[in-house]
Amino acid sequence: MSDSVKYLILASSFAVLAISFLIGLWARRKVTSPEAFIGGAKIFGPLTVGLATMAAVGSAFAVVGVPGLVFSSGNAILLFMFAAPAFVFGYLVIGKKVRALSEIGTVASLGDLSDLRFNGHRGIKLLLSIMLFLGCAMYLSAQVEACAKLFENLFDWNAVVIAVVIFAILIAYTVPSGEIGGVLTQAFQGLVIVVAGFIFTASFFFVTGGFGPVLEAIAASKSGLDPSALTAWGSLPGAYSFAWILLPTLGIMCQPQVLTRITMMRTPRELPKLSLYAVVTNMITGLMVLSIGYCAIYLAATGTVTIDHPDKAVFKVADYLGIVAQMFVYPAVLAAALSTSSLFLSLAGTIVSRDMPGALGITIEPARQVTVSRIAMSVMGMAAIGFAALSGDMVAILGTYGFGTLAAATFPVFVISLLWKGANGRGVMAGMVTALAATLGGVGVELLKRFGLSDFAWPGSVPWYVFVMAASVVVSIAASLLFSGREADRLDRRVALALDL
Amino acid sequence: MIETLLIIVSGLLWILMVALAGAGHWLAGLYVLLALLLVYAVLGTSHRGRFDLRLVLFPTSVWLLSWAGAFALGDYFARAWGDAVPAFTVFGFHPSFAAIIVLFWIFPTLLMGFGFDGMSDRWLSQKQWDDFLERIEEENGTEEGEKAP
Repeated sequence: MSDSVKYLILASSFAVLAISFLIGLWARRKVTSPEAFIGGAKIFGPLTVGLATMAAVGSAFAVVGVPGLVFSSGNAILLFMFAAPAFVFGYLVIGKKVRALSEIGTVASLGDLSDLRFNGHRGIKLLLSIMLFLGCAMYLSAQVEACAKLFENLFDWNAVVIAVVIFAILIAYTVPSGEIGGVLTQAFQGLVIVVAGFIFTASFFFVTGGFGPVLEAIAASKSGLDPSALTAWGSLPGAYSFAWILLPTLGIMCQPQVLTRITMMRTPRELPKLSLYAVVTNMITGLMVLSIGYCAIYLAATGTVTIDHPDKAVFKVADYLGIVAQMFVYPAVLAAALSTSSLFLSLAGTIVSRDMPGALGITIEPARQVTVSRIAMSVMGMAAIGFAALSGDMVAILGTYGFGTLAAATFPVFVISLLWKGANGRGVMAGMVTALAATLGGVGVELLKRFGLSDFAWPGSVPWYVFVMAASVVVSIAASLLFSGREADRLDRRVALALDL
Repeated sequence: MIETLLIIVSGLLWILMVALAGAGHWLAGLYVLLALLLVYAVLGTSHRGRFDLRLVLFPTSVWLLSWAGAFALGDYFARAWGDAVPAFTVFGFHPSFAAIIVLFWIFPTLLMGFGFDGMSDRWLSQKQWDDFLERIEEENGTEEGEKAP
């Protein structure tokens, strides 16, 4: 690749950053209160939120990680991408209840929602904050890895320096307008991903002639590519297909990217439209990552391109397709990473400046909250860089760790307890303690395995986060049944109305 | 009471699903997942203690049936030609994956997206939402009255 092409790609990527920064600055005028800054504004319509949600859920996990795993192990990971009906299911099942809660009190964070549902239960709020912080670090580490691979492919820059620069830019544009700017920039970044999706899919058909020739190329080649990779379950053990269907299907509805955006909608009556926009744009992203993955397999099987690391598949394919694809794919990767990162950085800031102090009975003045929030974002950035370096996992695997941890933390609080009035403080607290202990255990085991200190195998090869989710849900239900009937757990009449909606 | 029973059933389904997967029967675990989704779908339609089974029937049940078909066909064709190139393709895909493309992805995604939009008034009518806001106002007024000296 010539230097002029490299700098052209760099310019188009930084154009995404520059426009995001300008949107962040422009959005400052819409910040009318501290609550609006951290997510309490109910001002957005379905198209904006649909694009923002798709971009934040999709992330670099989808654009870099999924094609990489398709290239290395076949179709199984596409099940995760294709589980788009789960978006609709989530809105259908808990959407109006979540939005209704934000009519009862100020809801600017997930901790506020938990406060309303559990009468200000500090233990649940504290554990939720800790779990969200852990999940954020893991999910952000996937974005760090993706950005590192992007610039490594272009300039061979140092991964840590790249990550620090990206986080500095992110914090700079997230700080002026908070979550309002966050939603608007994510919507713009979602649009970039959708446009790249169209261009890339068209390029794929132009290069390969369709999906059939990919299968033929594998059949004809002596590259050693496994034909079973192109079956429904890919070439990994079937337990991965199980986990990668279960995780989005039950997990999307309680992801912070989804929950926080529901509370920012003008009215819950627009949630069906929002779900339609979210799934249609998600389908375009799905088609793009399918095309990238298959194109990578095709190019490798025909000996046209050598791909030395699965996470580089998207870039190698874009480089092969030429300057038009490159000028859209590289910015799309950056947009995907930025949209998720900005959301999780904001979330980390809110947890540390608002939810955690609230749970510990500490009051931080609104003026100081912004400073604390900035420090928290920096700490979170460093934690993500550290986790990415320590685990050494692929982008897609890191993404599933984060997704699973966040789902284990939020499922009892925001799904079980919104569907069942019998879920009580002590029960859900027990579920959260279980989730935290099991998550630390699961991550610990994976790290020990990484450094050759353990050969523990999870039953049936099922990924650890599935057990964590199941344990947190089952303990929450069982303990709620056991500890029922306490006066302190009696629902606020207005909350009961919201759950009855 | 019914809600509590359904939640207990959901907990048992979670245990069964993970136990099956852990024991190596991950495909059976996926079918249990569909039953679990059905339970949550029923709970999600609860409105003042009553369930709207028509909303469960469409679009959710059709989606879950479509996924069941995708799992069955996907697995059947994966077993038939798992380690070899298949005798035929569908839209250029391995027939096992074509079942996923059609019955797991495109059809149910469009069905749920447009189906939910089509049922939006049944899911939450303007009147229901206005009534809710009115009752919240009343409750707020009552609470302020109770707090007043």
